[in-house]
Amino acid sequence: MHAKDPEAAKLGMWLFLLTEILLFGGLFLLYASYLYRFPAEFHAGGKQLSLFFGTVNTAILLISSWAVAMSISALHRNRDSLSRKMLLLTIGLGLVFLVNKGFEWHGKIAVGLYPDSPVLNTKPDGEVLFFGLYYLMTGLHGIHVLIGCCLLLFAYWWLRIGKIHRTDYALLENVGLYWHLVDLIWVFLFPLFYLIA
Amino acid sequence: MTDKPNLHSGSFTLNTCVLAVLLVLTVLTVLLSRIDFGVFDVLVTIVVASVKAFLIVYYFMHLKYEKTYFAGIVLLCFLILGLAIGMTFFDIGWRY
Repeated sequence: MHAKDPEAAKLGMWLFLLTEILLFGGLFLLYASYLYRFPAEFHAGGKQLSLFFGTVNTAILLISSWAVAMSISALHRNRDSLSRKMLLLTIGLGLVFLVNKGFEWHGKIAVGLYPDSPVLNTKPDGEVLFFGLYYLMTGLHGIHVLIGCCLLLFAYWWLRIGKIHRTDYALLENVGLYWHLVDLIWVFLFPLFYLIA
Repeated sequence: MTDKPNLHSGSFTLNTCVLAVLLVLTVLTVLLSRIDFGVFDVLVTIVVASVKAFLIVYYFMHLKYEKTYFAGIVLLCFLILGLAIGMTFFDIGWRY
């Protein structure tokens, strides 16, 4: 068996996550600059988003973040079965988030609010930018949620077959870190898009 | 291997308390968004979001239990991001 270094594994994961923060950071910077340039249009755009859906999805992601933290805590405390159940709960909540997001996007697309749509093209520049950024940023975030769910499924499987266990859990911790990052980004996306109105 | 629990993670109670605070802060930020703080609207929102982000990074992402240099590189990353955003506003604040 080859030597393992969990600290190095976590450090590597953190460095990757920091590049993710800078990736989204660039988009936040873009959002902030256009918000400064078109405050009234961004205000009008934010009013058209569903605060209810946004708030519920925020709660769902926060609870899922708690569930994955609980999964790691449970494994550390020799509660393997609870650890696996918490991972399944996390995946379930992640999928519910995506379904909600799907309904939300569908609702917007149904009224003709999507990039380069005839309806949106008649609106002022600021609103076009708002919805462009909305689809870009929530879409990129949604892809991260989907990847996170896949990684969590792998972690669940590795727990089942014993690849992850109470003395070798760096993989679970790294998958958990990725999931928390997804939550962390949403913590900033939610107020910027839904509460700006 | 020993059966002694590994304590490099929060207890069930701690995790749940952190979640409760995060949910309360979410409700708070929604309520605060109904109040008009004028130019400070975005600032208030960002401050609440940053407190939530800190709780997630410190407790859920286990920065509390890692060696100090982990916190150092995370801070450095946010500093770089803050610098980029700060310098940009320094620019556009005078341009328009």
